[in-house]
Formats: sequence, structure tokens, C-alpha cells
Amino acid sequence: MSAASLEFSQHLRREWRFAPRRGPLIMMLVGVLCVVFNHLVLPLFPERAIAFMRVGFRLDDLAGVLALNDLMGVYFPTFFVGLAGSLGVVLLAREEHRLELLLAKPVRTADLVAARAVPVLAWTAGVGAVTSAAMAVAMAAHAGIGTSVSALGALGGGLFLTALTVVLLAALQVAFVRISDPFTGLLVACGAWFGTMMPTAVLLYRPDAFVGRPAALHGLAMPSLLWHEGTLGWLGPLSLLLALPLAVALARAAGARLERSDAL
Amino acid sequence: MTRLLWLDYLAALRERKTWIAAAMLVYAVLAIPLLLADPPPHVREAIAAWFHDADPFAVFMFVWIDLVMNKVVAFVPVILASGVVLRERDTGVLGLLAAKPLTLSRYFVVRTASTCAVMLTLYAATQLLGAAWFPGRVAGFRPGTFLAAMSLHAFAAVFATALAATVTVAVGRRGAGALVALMLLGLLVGLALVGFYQPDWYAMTLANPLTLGALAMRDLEHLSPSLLLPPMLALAGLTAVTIAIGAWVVRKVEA
Repeated sequence: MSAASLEFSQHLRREWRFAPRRGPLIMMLVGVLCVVFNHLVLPLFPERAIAFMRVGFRLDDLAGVLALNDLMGVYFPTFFVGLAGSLGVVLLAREEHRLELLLAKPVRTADLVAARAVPVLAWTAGVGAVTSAAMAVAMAAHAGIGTSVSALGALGGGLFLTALTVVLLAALQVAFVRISDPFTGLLVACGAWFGTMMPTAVLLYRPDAFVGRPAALHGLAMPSLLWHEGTLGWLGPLSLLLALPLAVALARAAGARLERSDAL
Repeated sequence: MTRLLWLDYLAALRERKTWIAAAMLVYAVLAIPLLLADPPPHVREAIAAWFHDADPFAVFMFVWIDLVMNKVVAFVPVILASGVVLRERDTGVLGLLAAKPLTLSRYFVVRTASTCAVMLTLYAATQLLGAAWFPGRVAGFRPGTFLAAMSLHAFAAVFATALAATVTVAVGRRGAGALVALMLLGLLVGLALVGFYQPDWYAMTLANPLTLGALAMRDLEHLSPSLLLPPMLALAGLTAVTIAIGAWVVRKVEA
């Protein structure tokens, strides 16, 4: 192990000790409650409302409809708890005039940003993983809803979305290091999140937009995670494993970008 | 206080985040006609059944309220309001303000009122732009009905802004406060139209302020003051109570 990486790991351990835990733990509970709420309430909807989602998102049965809503229960809390933590890495510190103090530490800027971002991203991944596991348990335990989505497929879909969230938040950090107002950062992040949801809305209201574009349909619309649930059983966990080092690399790139910036 | 409110309003309008939010709203206005150019039959049939209205305009209004403006109401108020008072504390300005002849509660009311005004400005500008852009691009578009329905929904947007400000000062930390406000508003928005999908729950959903904001969907053909005014008054009252709670809670914030 090189001296630089040793310094980074030591610094990471220090940042880890001070990383906020209460928010992610509460959001784990929120994610699990979302899943429970879906499985208790959605089956009580009239058939027309279920059919609206089933036909619109090309799902086979109630299991698909529940799984899609569960995926939203994974994506929404996971992304926004991660975003709340990510704002604290550079943006809030800059606004509160603490960034110069942090950068005065004998640590390279890339290491500093990565060490502050990694605990946030790890807790984000934890929230997504726990909610995905709850989703898998709910799919396995909920009888009579159909067989189109297995527990393993549901888990894989949730973990894939978690991986997407972790990478998206790390990529946003690259933008955050050049933004001075945290609320502008929040707005940019919300825009990015909506961008990932837009293809799913297009699928519901303008399915003809995907005619002749199977790659866009299967690569961008969220229900495709359920259409390929067999593949997601192994692709989801693998994506999350690959997302973590990629997120670290992006956080370091954000730090390198901050180092080149004049505006602290 | 009025002068301070006006200056704060003008300053907030000039902020970059306000302009980015405005750009996003303009994008929504321009994009929606494309999204609704050819809705599939199952969407038309379901919306016609939920709202007892087979008019294509009802499909548009459902999408505009549910997909666009309800999402705006869940996100933009949090972005505009979650810095109220706490930003001043975190940047060290609150101590300076404490030396002025203005209590923290009053300062909170001024800041929240100006943020609500900014939200209302963005909201009204979006609806006016829509009323000018949608005719001829949205099937069966009726500007008068559209503006009447959205004037009720505007009250929900203002309530959401007051709620975001109050929740943030109650939580006491900006990041966590924004997250809690977002979750609360996300829940209210997610359940706003449930009473239309499941009529058995309709009466219960009237406890949700965001449902009150969408009540024009009950009868778009016959919108009248008797349908719009009661929910407007209820939302105005809820907004006032929410700001009052925030003004009481904010006293615990220390410079």
C-alpha cells in the first residue's frame, strides 16, 4: 500500500466516524414502510387503477405492479437521503466558509472530497440495499399476486437502482464542486433525478415514442427492470459492486476539479 | 416589515436557483403538448372513468396536475424555502439580525411570506405561459377553465412552501430539514388523487391539502366559485396556521 492510499484510508476512517447516521437509518425505515404500504394498500385499489399501471407499463400481473411501486420506494428515499448527505461534502461547507479550513488540511483535495463523499455514498447504498431486501421479502411473502416477478428478480432490480443512485450522486458531486449555492445544487440534482424518470412517463403517455427504439425502451424505462427480472437477479448485485469503485473514482475526479478551481 | 418583505422578494427573484426553476417550468410547458399528442386508449379510458369526463381536456388536466404541477409542488417549495432562517444561522448572519428591532418569529414570517410570493410568481407565470402556449396544441384546451382550476392549485403550492419552511426550522438542520419536507410533500402528492382512483376513500383524502388543491378535477365542465372557494379558503387557513407554527417553533433557533 502506498503512502498516499494509506493517508486516504486513514482520512476515510476519520470522516466515516463523523458521517451522519440518523438520516440514513430513518430512511431505511421509510423505505421499508413504503414497501409495506404498497403491499397493504395497492391491492385494495379497483381493478381499473391496477390495469392502468399493468397495461401502461407492460406488466403481466399484480406482482409486476407492486414491484414497480416498490422500485419507486427504493429509488426515491435512497436518492434523496444520498443527496442530502452529498450537499454536505463541499457545497454546504463552502457556503458556511468552512471549505478553506478543510482544504488547509495536509490532504490532497481529491482525497478530501472522496473521503467525505464515500461514507455518504456507502450509507446511500445501505438504504437502497435494505429497502431492496424488504421488497424481495414482500414479493416472496405476498401470496396470490402472480408470478411475473420473483423475489430474486425484485432484489436485483432494487440493487440495480441503488447502483444507479450511487453513481448518479457521485457524478453530481463533480458538478457540485463548481456550484456556490446549495439550493442551486439541489435543483440541478432534482432535475437529474427527473431526467432518469422521464422515459418511464413517456412509456405511459407516449409509448409510440419507443416504436423502433428497443434499446432506448429496454435501457431507459424503469419497468424494463421487471421485464428482465431473470437477468437482474445477477446483474443487480454485480452493478452495485461495480458502482462503488466507480463512485469513488467520480468523487476523486470531483476533488481534482475542485483543486483546479479558483473559486472556493 | 412590508419593505423588508418586498426587498427579500426581489432578492429571491434574482437568485440563480429561481431562474433555474423558471427554466424547468418553461421546459414543462413546452414539453407537455408533445407528451400528450397521442395518449394510448387505456390512458384515455382510465382517466375518463376516474373523472367521469371523456373530454381530451380532462386527460390533459390530469397529466398537467398529477405529472407536472404536483411534482413541482413537491420539489420547488423545498428548494425555495428550506434555507429560511437556517441559512442565516449557518452563514453567521443571524447574530447580526438579532441586533435589529425584529424578533426571530417576525423575521421567519417575512422570509416565509416572501418565499411563498416567489413560489406564487413562478407558479402564476407558468400557468399564464401555458394558457398562451396550449391553445391549438392541446386537444380541447379551454384557457378559462384551465386558469380557474390552476388558481385553486396555486393555493396548494403556497401551502407547500409554508410547510417546507416550517418543517425545516422544526428539524433545525438544512439538509435533514429539506429531506423531511421533501418526504412529507412527496407523500401528500403521492396520495393527492387516490380518492379519484378509489371512490370509497374520497372523503378521507380531503384531509390532504394537496387533494384540496386538485378538487377542480371533480367537475371541470362546471367550475364555479362554490366549488373553488371552499378549498381555497381551507388552504389559505392551513397556510396561515402552518406559518404561525413555524413562527413559534423558530424561537428555539439560536444564532
